[in-house]
Amino acid sequence: MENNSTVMKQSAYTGFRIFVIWFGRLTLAIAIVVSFAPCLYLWLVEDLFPGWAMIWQSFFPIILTWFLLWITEPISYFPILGITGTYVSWLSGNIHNLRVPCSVIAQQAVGVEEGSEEGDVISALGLCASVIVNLIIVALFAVAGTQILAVIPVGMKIGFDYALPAVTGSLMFTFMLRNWKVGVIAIVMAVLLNVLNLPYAFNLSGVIFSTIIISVFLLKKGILK
Amino acid sequence: MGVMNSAGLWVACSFIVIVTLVQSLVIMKRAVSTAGEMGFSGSQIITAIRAGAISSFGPSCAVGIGVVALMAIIGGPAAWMRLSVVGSLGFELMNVNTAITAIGGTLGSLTDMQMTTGLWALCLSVVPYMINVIFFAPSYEKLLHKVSGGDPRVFNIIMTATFVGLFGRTTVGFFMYFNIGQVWAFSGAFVTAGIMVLLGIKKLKKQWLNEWTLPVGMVAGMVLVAFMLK
Repeated sequence: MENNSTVMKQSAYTGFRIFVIWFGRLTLAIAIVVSFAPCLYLWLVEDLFPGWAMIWQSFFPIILTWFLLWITEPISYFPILGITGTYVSWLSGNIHNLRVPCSVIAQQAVGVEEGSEEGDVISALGLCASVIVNLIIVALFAVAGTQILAVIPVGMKIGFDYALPAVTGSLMFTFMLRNWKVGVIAIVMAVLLNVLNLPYAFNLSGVIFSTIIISVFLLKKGILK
Repeated sequence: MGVMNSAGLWVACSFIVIVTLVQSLVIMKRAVSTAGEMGFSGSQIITAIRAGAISSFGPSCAVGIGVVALMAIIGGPAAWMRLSVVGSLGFELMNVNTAITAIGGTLGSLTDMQMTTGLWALCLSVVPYMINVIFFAPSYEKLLHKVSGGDPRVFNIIMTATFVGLFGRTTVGFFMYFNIGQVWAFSGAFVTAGIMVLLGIKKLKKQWLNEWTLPVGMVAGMVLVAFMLK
């Protein structure tokens, strides 16, 4: 009986996983194409096209800023997002302030082990719900943002300016409690890389990769649990 | 500003937003049935969805306010589209600034042509990320399993390390470049989440509080900073 239900669980998850990889790839590919629809509209309908040379001139410094992160960021987030989270998050964005927190909270609320097959499915539920809510709210602000800002109190506006530090504070406590020694390693590495004043690209992935390497090393040495 | 806020542009910008919405609806539907087959109860499924939705509310309003800021630079439809899909407010503002500076424009008083150039740059700036994920996400999964060698302790420590690496780095930034507002917001949320976890979940065994740690902690941080800076 026990065996049977484990097998059923696994085949249900395997089917889900195969579907998500296929569908995730498909939707991302379509998204890349349709993301240029506004540019093409401006070009073909409104006759606004700056020319490739001008586009290159504006895009080139962006390449210099991001090319390393284009390579390292998806792999840096992978251990927390998992396979489903990766496909959802790299289409819907706002990974740091929205996707990661919502994935973590959904898994905690149900009480599944993060990174497990159960965790991936539960995380998918939390993530997709967060995307839908996010799209609705952002659309409301796009249509009536100026009016909304006119009626909400000043204090609320100040509060929302600090949404990221507030999210960070809530989550840091939970994770420091889970393994405070790893937390200390991360903070030491972050201070160190900040003092060295490395470019932004090295800094983000540098902190994550070095924390992983040191923690795994200390775990294997038996110093960390 | 006419062209950059035209009805046609709103329609053109809606395509990718629709793809994003459809992706989430379809994966959610599939996840609901998979969770059922894996033995999760209906109430557990609802808990997960509710937790994601509630936790998304605060940060989404922050992004919404960002839309208004970005609108002033590249127009309504483009701001809506850029902040509905991959990227984030910081990413878009930084890139539009970089792109516009490179072509000699001034943010806030751009010509339609300069806005169009900025939009091309913003659209291009996320394509490499998406190509990376399309081709390599399954390889990252294999790599992760290879590194952890099937040992759940190693796997767990990699996950925790990734998490505290990401948010620890942000935290250090708040304190090192001492921004008083960020420090207040962080501390208010940290202390509130701490009280909820230590007292509510660990001591009083109120498991349902798990779902509320993030939203309540976040609101506490934002209320504190609003109160202190007002």
